[in-house]
This record gives sequence, C-alpha cells and structure tokens, in this order.
Amino acid sequence: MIIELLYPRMCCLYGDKGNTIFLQKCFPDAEFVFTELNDKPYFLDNNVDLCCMYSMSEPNQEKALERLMPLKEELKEAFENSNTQFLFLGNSMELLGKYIETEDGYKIDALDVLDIYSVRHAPKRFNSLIRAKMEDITLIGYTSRFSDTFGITEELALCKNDVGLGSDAKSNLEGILTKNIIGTYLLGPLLPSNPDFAKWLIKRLGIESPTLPHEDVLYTCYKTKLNEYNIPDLELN
Amino acid sequence: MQRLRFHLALIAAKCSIILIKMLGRNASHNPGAIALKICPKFMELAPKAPKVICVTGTNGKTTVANLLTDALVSDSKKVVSNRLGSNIVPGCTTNLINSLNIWGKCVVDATVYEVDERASRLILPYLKPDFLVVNNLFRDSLKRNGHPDYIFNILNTYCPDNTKLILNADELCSSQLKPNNDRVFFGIGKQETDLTKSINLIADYSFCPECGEVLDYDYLRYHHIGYAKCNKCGFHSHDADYLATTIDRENNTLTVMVNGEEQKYPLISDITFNIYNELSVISTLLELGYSYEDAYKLVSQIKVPDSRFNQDEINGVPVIQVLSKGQNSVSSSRAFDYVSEEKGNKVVILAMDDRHDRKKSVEYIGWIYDVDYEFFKRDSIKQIIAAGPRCYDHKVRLLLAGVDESIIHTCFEEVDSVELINWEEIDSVYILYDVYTYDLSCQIKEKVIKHLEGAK
Repeated sequence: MIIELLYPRMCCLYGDKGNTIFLQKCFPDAEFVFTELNDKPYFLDNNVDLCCMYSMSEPNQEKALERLMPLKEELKEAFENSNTQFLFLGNSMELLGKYIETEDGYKIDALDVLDIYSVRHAPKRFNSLIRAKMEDITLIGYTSRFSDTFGITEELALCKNDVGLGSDAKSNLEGILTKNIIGTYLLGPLLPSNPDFAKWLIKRLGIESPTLPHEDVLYTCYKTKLNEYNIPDLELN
Repeated sequence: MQRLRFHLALIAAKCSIILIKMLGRNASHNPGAIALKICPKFMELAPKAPKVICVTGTNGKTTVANLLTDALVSDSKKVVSNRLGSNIVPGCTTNLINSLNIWGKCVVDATVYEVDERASRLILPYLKPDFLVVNNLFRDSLKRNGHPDYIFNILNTYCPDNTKLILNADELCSSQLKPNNDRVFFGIGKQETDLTKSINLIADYSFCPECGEVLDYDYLRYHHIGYAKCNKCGFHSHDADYLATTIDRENNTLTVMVNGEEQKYPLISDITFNIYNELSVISTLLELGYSYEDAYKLVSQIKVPDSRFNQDEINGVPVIQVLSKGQNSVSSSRAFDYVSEEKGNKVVILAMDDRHDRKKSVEYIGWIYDVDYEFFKRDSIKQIIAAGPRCYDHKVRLLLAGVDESIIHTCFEEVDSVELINWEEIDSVYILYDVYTYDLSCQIKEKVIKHLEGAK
C-alpha cells in the first residue's frame, strides 16, 4: 500500500492531519509519501493506491496551482486512467475545476478536470455543520470556507446534505465523486469521525472487509455525535 | 456637522460612563458603542494621544498590552488602555473616549490598545498608531479567523504605511508584515534546549515563502518558532534588532543584545512565551526613546499576570488549573507539553469543550488533531479523564496518539470527572480548561479539594 500526501506542509488546516494519523494506524505497513511543494506529485510516475490533498489558505491555493498547472495534461491523464484513488478535502477540491474567481472578480485558471468552478467571497465565511446521505452512509462533519463551488450536478455530487450547506451554499449537493476522485468541502478529521465512510474508502483500495483501529470507540463517538444532530433548532454555525 | 456629531457622541458617551459606573459595572464597551451610533466616524475624528501604541497577534496580546501600560504608568505617564474591555471596535473606541476630556481634548500622554487581529481592519486605519506590536500569528478559531494567512492579509492591508512595526523575528508569518514600513524585530537567540526539527504536529510556515523549498532551522523552539533559512534561494528569518542572548533562570535575568551592547533585564517569567512578551515590551520601551537604564527601571516594576496557572496544594497533593485555549492548537500544545513535563504521577482532566456550542449545536472538534496529544504518552501520566460533551472525540484522539486505552476515562459532565479519579496512584491533579470553561474547572477543583480534605 502506498499513500501519498500532496503538499502536507501547507495543505493541512484545522485537523486535516487527523486523516493522515488515522490512515497510518489503519495501514501501519504502508509507505507514506509526503510530497513537498517543489516536488512532482509521486503518483504521476509511480503506482500509488491513495493520494490525499487537504485544505489550504487561499494564497497557498495559488502556490499549489502554480506548481500543478504546468503538469495539467499529465494530471488529467492520471485522474482519468490511473488506479489511484484521490481524496480532496476542503478547498483542495476547487483546484479540479475550471477556475477560481477571487473576491475582486479575477479568475485564476485551475486544472479543468471537472466542469465546475469556485467563487471566493472573503471576508464572508461560510461555517456550517453538515449531515449528508451518501448511498447508505450518513456523513457528519463541518465546513468552514470563504468560497462556493458551482456546477456540481446530482450525478457528480458525493452526497446530499439534509443538514447544512452544500458545495454551493444555495444547493444541498455536496462534494464530488467521479471515477476515482472523491472530493468534499467537509474538513478536518473526516475519516476517524465517519467510520462507515472510512470503511467505504478502504474498500475502494481493494480491502474487502476492513476493520478499523479502535473501531468500537470510533462508532460510539460517531453515534453519540450523530444523535446530537437531532437537537431541536440545531445551530449550524 | 461632523464635528457637532463628534461632540454630541463624546458627551453622550461620557454621560454613559458615569451612569454605568454608578451601576457598578465596567464602562468598557457601551460608551464606545453609543459614541459610534451617534457618530460613526468617531474613531477617525477624535484627537489622538501623542503616542498611540497598538498590540495585536494571536497569543500574548493582552499580556503585552497590560505590561506596557503598567511600565508607562510606573514612569508617571498618563496612559489609558482597554485592559478592562473588549478589543474590538467599541472597546477601542471607549479607550479613545477615556483619553479625551469632555471638550474633546486629549489629556493623556499615551494610549495603549489591545486590538483583536480580525477587527484590526476597522481600527488601525483610524487610530493610525505610531507603533504596532505583533507577537505572532498562529491558528486560532476556525469560524472567526479562518487561517493565519487571512489575518496576515488583513493586517498587511489595513495597517497604515507610516506605522512602525515591532515584530517577532522568530515567527515567520507576522514577521513578513508590511515590508515597506519602518520595522524592528525582537527574538530569542539559540538556546540549549532548542531543536532543529519540529516535534509538533503543526508547524505552519515551514516552507520558504519565496521559493517554496522546505526550510532548514538554525534553531526551532516549538511549532514554527525559530530561525529559518532556505538553502535554495537564501531567504532567512529576520535578524533581531533586540536579541535575547542569555536567559538565566537561576538568577532571573534576561540579557538582550541591542546595537552590539549587552543589556541585562530582570526576567519577569521563565516561560518561553512570556519571555517573548517581555522582549516585545522592552523593544517597545526602547523604541519609545527610553534609555537602557530607564527601561531597566520600568521592567523591574512590572509583573506578568500568570492567569494560565493556578495551583493549590491540599494534603501534599498539588491541584493545578492550566489554561488550554480551545481552537488554539499552539496554546493547547504548550499546555499539554507543560503538564507532561511536570514531575510526579498525575491525573489529567480535559475540560476544554466549547461552552456555547454544547447548548444548541455540535462543536467542531477537528482542531484537536492539530494539538499534540502525543505528549500524553508518558509513564508519569496515570489517568486521563476526558470530560464534557466531546469526551469520546478526545478518547479517539488519545487512542490515535498512542495513549493506552486503560488509562483513558470519559464522562459527559465535567464535574463528574472527579468520581473517576483513582487516588491510589497519583501525586497531582491537572485540570485543563478553555477560556470559557474556567468556572467548570473551578467546580472540578472544589470537588477535588473536598475529596482531598476529607481524606485527611
């Protein structure tokens, strides 16, 4: 098992690193590749089972794009044809769209892998608890961001929120799932917070009946929190 | 017309101060709010003191603003500060009102403002400070502050161009502020205990801001605090104009190198973050024109309020409350590090869950994955009790940090944690609390004390 973390020094806001810690516990024998900002993504030249990219500040989004744009065609090819599963959390998902529009209307070209685009609204910040349905899984978590992503269709969406904001704050469609790309605005420790989702992801890596580390505690924690989403007049932010 | 509104606002605010004080309350927020209601441009129109000093940053701004005010007051200067009030616009406006007489004339020598870093865009352009002191920019509340780059951008945009900045050379985010302004830097030189690689989970700004290469460190203190250099493009941390060279904890002295001259000051606290706080005060005093001798006298008279630690000893058992700010990974990691390093077998009670969110929401607890729970993997920590609505999240985090499950206990009500303590095996009790759970930590402490007194 080879797991790559893309630009982990700058793409790790607010608990995102929890997913790496969790994956290291899940796969103690796996090789973890930490790709630095000035290095070429490892999955472009090597077999990688899972590549994760987490959320980042807006200036750092631009730094990431500066490095990735020259590799645009190679990246598209890898997203299309490699066996790697890709997990994009928070605003890293925005890099896959056509462009990111800044607060002053300037459009930054993005990787154009998907027919979506993002718009920043700083200083307006979207903060929201999220509960969403994804097949038979209920995802829970939190989004906190300055931007919206538009163009996510029912077919493209990862899940449908019944609590909280969608990827476009006016929609209830959240995230993306296409072929081997998984993306969501949910940030932080998504995997340890959602054991069913963690198992779903691990199954996509070819493990049929995964067992999670400390599984009973993970489920106790998850169910306790899920139950709290039923508080009447739940405050989302 | 604007002048009339300004004077009306000032009179109304001054009257409200009298009334609020008669009710026995701190008139720290409302007078400013009233003034702004009547005259939205109050801050811009009001005359300013001969010296206006603003202090901002993520951690330490209250301490620095208070120390600086105390130092100036001990020099018989007439100084007002917003130490009793809020650090957002109304609180700063009240401070400004306090610097004026009823006729709108400034009657103080200096004003010191603690300024909320996010609200600084509504404050700095109007106060036009002579000096802006910034100790650091770290991760803080996700909901409010977003991320440090966002706060950096606010300060960089809204700090006036003619303000002189007093910056921490060892902190690579805030030290890059306003490159074209007049700036001076303070820092702590290499110490024996320093590292060259980070042991913390979070080390933001560990890649070169110029070329993106991974930075090397001549020394690294914690997180990304240290002296960084880029081997690719030559970028490096700023060299400190006020460089602490020797920290003598035995004799309580702090040696600071200034223009090639060694200046020895009293060490007012031996905790590293407080040494940074003291250094920023010394730097500001020297920038204000005080001689070494005068600055020495003023620093000798100030004391750092250590509200982060509160210790009682009952029947030989220390019971220690330690502030571990929620959402603030650096503050919490510092607290965890401190507790884990203390001698003796201990029980640690975690009571840091958000006070507001528990009422009608579900706290976003992701920030605990930025905090070094790994520090708790020590033999001397015999029990950890995660107390509060998010107790299972803390338990998961502790397990993923490698802490043995047999020493982890959970309870939903903070005060119930005391029932879970196994008194047989411990020498001390540590209660970690958030700013807003201080009262709960006091209730825990009270119950612990009752038990220990009963066991006499």
